[in-house]
Amino acid sequence: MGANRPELNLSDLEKKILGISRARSAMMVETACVCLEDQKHSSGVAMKVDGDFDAAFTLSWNAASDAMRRAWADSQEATEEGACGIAALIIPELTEYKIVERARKGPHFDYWLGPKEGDPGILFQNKARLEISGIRCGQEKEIKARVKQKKKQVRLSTVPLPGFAAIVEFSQPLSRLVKA
Amino acid sequence: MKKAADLHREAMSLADEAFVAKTKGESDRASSLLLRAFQKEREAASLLESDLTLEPTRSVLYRSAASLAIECEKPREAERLVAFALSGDPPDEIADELRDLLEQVQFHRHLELRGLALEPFELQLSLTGNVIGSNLALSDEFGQRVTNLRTALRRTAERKMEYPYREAGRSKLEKDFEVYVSTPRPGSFAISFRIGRTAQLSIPGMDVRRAVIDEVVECFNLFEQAQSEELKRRIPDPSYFRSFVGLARRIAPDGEKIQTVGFTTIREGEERRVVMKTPRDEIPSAVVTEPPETTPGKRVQVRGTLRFADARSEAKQVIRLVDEKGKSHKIEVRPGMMSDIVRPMWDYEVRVSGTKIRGGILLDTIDPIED
Repeated sequence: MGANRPELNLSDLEKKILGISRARSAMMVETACVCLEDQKHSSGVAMKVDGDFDAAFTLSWNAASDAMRRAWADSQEATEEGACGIAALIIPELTEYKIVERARKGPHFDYWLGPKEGDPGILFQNKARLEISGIRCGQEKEIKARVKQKKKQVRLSTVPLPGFAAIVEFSQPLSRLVKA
Repeated sequence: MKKAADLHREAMSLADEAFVAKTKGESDRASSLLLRAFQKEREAASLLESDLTLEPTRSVLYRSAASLAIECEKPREAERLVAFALSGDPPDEIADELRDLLEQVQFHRHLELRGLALEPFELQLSLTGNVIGSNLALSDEFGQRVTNLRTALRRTAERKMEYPYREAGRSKLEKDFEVYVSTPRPGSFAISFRIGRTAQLSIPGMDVRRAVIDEVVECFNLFEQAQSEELKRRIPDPSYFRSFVGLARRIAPDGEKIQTVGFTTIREGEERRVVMKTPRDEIPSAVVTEPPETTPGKRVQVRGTLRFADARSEAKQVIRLVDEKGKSHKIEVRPGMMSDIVRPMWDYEVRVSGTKIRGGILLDTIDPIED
């Protein structure tokens, strides 16, 4: 474990952090574990967060089982869902929000964010938008291109509220969190 | 408040269903669902009409209802809803978004001819977006659309005259197909195109100029509605089809610089309006790419500078892209794309999407990179 880095435990996603169901949160946990281990990381790996934020965390998790790996053999699906798990963990650490609701298909972002403490709020009060994208193993150029694409996507949204884009790269691992 | 939240949720579910129906080509069902979504969202917003302290929820709901009103082609309703939102105390950013929406409402006024008489062989083009002002437009965005619309009109005339698709060389209509462009209308960015009268453009029993205008407008309508099967029935020749789809993608809005592209004609005294609102990058892939069964293989994307073109063989035309590492990528161009779509991008940095084939990539779409 890194001595000076706060620890983020993926299992916490199932317990307390999100405003969505445990089943959905459990999928995020499983996929994040599968993606991290696929990139030869073990629990306790350091993850940097950059972009509009500057932080570093120690990620911990329970080892993925064979059943989990079989369940998430679709690499693209696992990478996207796993990125949601990592983003869901870091958002409350670095902003005033947490994930409270999955967005519908049309509005150009993935999740609604709400206040991390107390009531999630009614309709659009204290809400923000989050778009997430995962890269299993990519270079800086690909991360930059993805950030640009996702920022543009969030801006196209017809809901004029604060927005974030989170790009999670599993091989380093690195999360780039930007205001859109 | 719970009632407003429930109505909003119902409205969004209906809007989702409308989106799915539209992608399936069920345009009547999509319109009906969208209208119901608008009615629910308007009702949700009206519940907060007097609650001026509940921001940003009040203004976001009104904005959402106004946006749906525009999609339902109810510009007056949209204008009224934006006015309600602005009459409250919306946060600055949302107030700006509401004013942007009002510009979209204004666009519907630009589509109206407002007393201007269009002849049957005339077509009005209207643009809105961040680079369009009153009587001013960014020349690149305007110029490429004028060029591509003129090409689409000429290709449609050749197709109507039943000429085989021409990959290269001069058109039989080279000297006989003249397109005139008017000056912009006062107070908007709308111009009209007129096809000139010539003896060559003549088929007994058919007003070719009128038929060309009608055909182009209907094809743009089918393209916007993502009705690719119907579009293919209208343009059965694959080369003409690829040329039209490629040109329509270039004319379509990008979502920021240009947000709407509209066409207006007059038929039997009635205005016909077609509006393209779907941003180029969000056009369903079924419309712009070949069906996977015709070209099985992995879909890939590369960026680079268009440096080499070999159009000596009509059946197998090739371009090469040089990426930033100096690596050359061989791209095969399908018939119908080289002259109208690829050639204007010569020496540009472009993004190519296509299917991986032996020795290279088979081109689906090509776009200039606008950094």
